Amino acid sequence: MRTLPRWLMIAFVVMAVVIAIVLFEKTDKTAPVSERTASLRLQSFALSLHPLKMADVESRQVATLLHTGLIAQEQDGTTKPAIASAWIQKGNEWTFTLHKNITFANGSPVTVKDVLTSLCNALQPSSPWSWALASIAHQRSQDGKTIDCTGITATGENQVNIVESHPVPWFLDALSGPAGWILPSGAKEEAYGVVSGAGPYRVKEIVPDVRVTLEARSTGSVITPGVKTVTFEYLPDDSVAAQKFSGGQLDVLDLTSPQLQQLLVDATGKLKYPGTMTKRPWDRVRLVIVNQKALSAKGFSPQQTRDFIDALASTVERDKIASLAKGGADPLVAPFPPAKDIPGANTPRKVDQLKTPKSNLTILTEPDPYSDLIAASLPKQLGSVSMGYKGVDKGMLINSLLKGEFEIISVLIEATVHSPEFWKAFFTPGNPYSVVGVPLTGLDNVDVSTDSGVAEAGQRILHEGNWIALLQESRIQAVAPGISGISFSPSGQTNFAFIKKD
Amino acid sequence: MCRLSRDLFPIVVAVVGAHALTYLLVGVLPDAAVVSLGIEGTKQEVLAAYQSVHETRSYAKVIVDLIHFDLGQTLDGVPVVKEIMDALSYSAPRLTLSFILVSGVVTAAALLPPSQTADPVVASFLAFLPPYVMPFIGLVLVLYLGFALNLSLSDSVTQAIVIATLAIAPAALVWSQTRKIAHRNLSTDFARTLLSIGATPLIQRFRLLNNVIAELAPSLEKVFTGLVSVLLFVEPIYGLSGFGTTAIRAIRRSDTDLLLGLVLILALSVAAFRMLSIIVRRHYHMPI
Repeated sequence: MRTLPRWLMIAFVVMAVVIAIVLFEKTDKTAPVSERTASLRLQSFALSLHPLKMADVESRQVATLLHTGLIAQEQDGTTKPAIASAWIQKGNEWTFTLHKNITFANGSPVTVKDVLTSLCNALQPSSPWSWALASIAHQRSQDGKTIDCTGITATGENQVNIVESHPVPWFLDALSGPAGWILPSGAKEEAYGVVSGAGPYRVKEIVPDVRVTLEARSTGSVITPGVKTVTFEYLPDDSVAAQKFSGGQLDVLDLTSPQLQQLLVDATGKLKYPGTMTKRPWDRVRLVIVNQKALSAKGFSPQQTRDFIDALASTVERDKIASLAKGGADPLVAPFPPAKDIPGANTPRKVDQLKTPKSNLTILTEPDPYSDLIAASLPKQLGSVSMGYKGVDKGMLINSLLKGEFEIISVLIEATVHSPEFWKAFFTPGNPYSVVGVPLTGLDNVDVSTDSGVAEAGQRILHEGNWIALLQESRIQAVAPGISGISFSPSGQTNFAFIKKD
Repeated sequence: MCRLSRDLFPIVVAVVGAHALTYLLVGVLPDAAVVSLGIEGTKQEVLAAYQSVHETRSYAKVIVDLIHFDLGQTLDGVPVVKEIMDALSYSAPRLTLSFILVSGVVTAAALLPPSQTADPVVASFLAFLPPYVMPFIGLVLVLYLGFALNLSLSDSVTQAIVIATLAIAPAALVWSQTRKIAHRNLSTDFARTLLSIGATPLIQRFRLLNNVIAELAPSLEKVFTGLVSVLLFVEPIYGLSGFGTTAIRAIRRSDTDLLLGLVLILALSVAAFRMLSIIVRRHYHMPI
């Protein structure tokens, strides 16, 4: 038997030592949180920081530090100046006066042209925010592919005029979010959708699946940075995030699951660790959606499907499900969330008289423990219909939802602009969102910017729609001592642009 | 030359096959545009704008680009080569140290004297030890130390737990094999001769270590595959960057180019270990 050459064995040992040294250097070191560093959580790492390509709320949280719009609206409706130093409204017409001597992170000055271009780009059909700014006067091209932004004009060297064709209450909310964020004309997009913004920070480093580090801009931003560095740590696991908060390595944590509350909140509802806890309204609801086509394929007639939806809606134990949230959610009966109280929504249905084909239906849900608890709390049997549930990955869930490949689905829907128009879109004929709802003829003519319109839309959706509301969530946020300046949009989206640390 | 070709042919077929199969299987995953855009993916214009940036390449184009060492771009707009190199720079040291740990287990198993009572008990325990549970046990340990004992584990300690977690399943596999081989070798004439010419039992087992390594060579590939498989669980659980986390992200986001690149690198690595085991066995004049 031959032996391995000595040089080979020595080479192995030397390699091991070198690699051990490299490992030590490469360790994902979490620097101690200094006074001038704010450490925040990133729950998923699918960054898309370009405002016109942003489709998730995680990216939005990061982007609030990089970008800003003409104004910033608070949850209580007050409006703060941002790129615009002043604004006046006369009827349908808004005039914004821009700050002078402010620049983007790449050093180029913020001009009226940048404002016009950015807002017009957001209005284009290819923008995810076109609906939010749709009240601005515009004309669609004959082929429908482009928008002529007739309602946005420059009225001087540093003034922008915006005319609304039909004023809506959520206009300033839309303008202060990604739809209204101003980008430099011809901005070059880098990896992760990074473009120079007018916000108080710039991207310093993105380490995939580990962290995003932002550094304060020294000059040119209209918002003065409150800390030197902001770090978003990728912490998908709730337990690990709770441990980091309790250990002082995380400054802000949204308590979005019962598990987080169990770990960080005591029996009296107070934080177990130093810091404060706030609870705010949040346009985030948990729903059950019934696929009428799938039920039809199982032999349900339209009336049987209606009866089934009504029966399921009246037998769901919302109080029990809400109690699982430990204060983070309230029961929601209205399947059209802006209409909190729809007459007849609470009327019990006669489940024992439900006549439907004998069948087994599957409820799809996300596989996280909270979604799992909710799905497990739904009725298992309704007349001759048996229901089981299956947890699937979020991507698979969205895919099933949008392609109609489901029978019943339990989902979380979040509005990023506080607008009934968003919710109405799911039931508006011709609106792409209606693949998730049911197109209700004539609903497009209902004006939901008025209370009566909201009530009317609520009634239609209650009696003809396919949504069963479960919970209205609240944003409960744990904040470490010394942290201030976190603001929220009217829909409850967090804005970290003004964050400070003492 | 002919022998090398004969050895390489099935390996090349396996690598190319894994790559092609992955391309086919990506079709089963959710549409990347739908996953990335969510509800916005219902709008044709938004979808078209997304797809114009993230063009789906035909397999022929993938191969042509591969010939030019271009693995494409991730959905984030990062070159796949850079993404994989970054991931490997985190995972390679972990894998190497785990491999060294497994090697240590092999050495210990080969050098420890046989025990009539302990060996069957350990063998039975290892046969029932579910290796995939180890990452979760490690996580529970970290969390317990963090919460119950109010300790903040340093990154080095966490890394050590990760490395141990990675190594435990392959180590369990080779421990059992090594003990069987060592036990059998000790009953050979050669082993008895060593004792009769004055070698101590430890020297005897040390001399037989080469035989153990030679017989374990075919398991190199399995050990590597085991380490990488556990990596897919461990890195995401601990929130560590690396090959496992990148792979999971690529699957969850249906990132075709990234997934193909990762599979290619993984297949090439397994092939390299297969070649290494062939070389080792040839070195010891053992059948392949």
